Amino acid sequence: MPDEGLENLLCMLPEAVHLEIARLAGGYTDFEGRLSEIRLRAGRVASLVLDGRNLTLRTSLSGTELAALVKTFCHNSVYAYSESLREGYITLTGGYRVGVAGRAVMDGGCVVGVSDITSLVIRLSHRVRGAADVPLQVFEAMGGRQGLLIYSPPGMGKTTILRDLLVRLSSGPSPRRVAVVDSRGELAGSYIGTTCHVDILSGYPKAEGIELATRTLSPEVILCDEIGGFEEVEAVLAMQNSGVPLIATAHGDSPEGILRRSAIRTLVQCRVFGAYVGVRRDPLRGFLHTTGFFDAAGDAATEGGDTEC
Amino acid sequence: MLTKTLGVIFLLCACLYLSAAAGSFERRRVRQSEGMLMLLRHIRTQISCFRTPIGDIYASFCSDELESCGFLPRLREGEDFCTALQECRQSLLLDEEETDLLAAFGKEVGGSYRDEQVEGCDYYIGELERICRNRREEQPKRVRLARSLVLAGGLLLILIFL
Repeated sequence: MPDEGLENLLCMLPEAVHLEIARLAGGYTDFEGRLSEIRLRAGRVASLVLDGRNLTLRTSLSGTELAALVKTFCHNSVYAYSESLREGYITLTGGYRVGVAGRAVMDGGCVVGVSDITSLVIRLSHRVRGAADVPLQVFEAMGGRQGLLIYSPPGMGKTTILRDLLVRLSSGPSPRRVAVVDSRGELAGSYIGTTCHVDILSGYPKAEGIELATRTLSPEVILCDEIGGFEEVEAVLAMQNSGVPLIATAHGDSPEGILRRSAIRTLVQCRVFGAYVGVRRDPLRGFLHTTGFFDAAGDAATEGGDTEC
Repeated sequence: MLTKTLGVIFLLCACLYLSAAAGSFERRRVRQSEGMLMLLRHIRTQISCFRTPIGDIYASFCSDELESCGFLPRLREGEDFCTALQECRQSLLLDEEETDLLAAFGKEVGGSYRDEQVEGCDYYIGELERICRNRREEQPKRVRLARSLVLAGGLLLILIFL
């Protein structure tokens, strides 16, 4: 049976979509963990990603229906979600993120909202046990004292790995005090047990969240998703002075690719990150990892080829 | 003779009860309208200052009148504003103008961004204030009229009975 969060999400969708998903997934008993995305488009085909494959649904929704769905996702309080809508997403209970595409509402050259919704992309979160095996090994190999950068192109499972890492680091026989800067509300879900030593900063911009976590939460590790902006560099460097390692993810397809980004290069050169793990996801082989360490000059030295997980 | 006397007493008591009920009915109408007005003002403040989700806004609002007619409990259970208004049509003593206004508000609430929502609330609050003001001004006249009609009708029945 799907978990409660997924079931609540499916109940919010129009019945035609609900039935189509059930048909394509072959019923609910073998559902969870296989469905990773649902895409709804105004006046065009809807689709989902099941077992890594794009499948077309035999139904489509109108723009009005998409707008009504946005209102439902916002619990009939669109105004309460205006900040995240401005950035193009809504986070649902359970850590599911809904990407919202439409016509930008501009004011003074800035995007203040979105109207005439044309697409909704629902990314389903789930914890994959064992997803963080390799990153955890690399982190432990550094004595848990240096930061770790996890990179991959979009949709390859960085956030899924971070979720498993969060639970593994904060629980077990030697749990660490883990602070999570969960800007989009995707990391902290129902899978975090009551025995996890986790402090969650939900909705904070990354820079503010990292600074606050360092100053007030006395963490042993800080986790955050999708780092890479210059506004975060200052906060991270200040955090580094406190000796707290940072585990973060970034978009990229190779160590050289991520090091071309100035902000990340600065962090690597300042020894914020001591090692990296590159991630790809193969439908048949699961997570594939490329691991390596950053040298003193801030260059990447790849150690491992594709490690299956 | 005794029957007639008892009948007259009964009719008099009935007239007095009905005239009191008519007065109470009018006062209740005004209180319900004012309760709706307070609800809209509360919604406006919560959206404007805190962007509170609508479910939490309903949970934090109190009104004996809207509670006793079942409207507020329905909102707290997650029912749509328009649906709750429709379901409580019998117990809410609203006239057509007020019902249409609140239905229009119900369709809009929660569907737009903060500034538009606050502007919308201001419009509906303005209209509802006008309705409440008229109702308060008319209330004494309506109570007097209702009482007069009831008493006149009662006296007529007594005369016929006698």
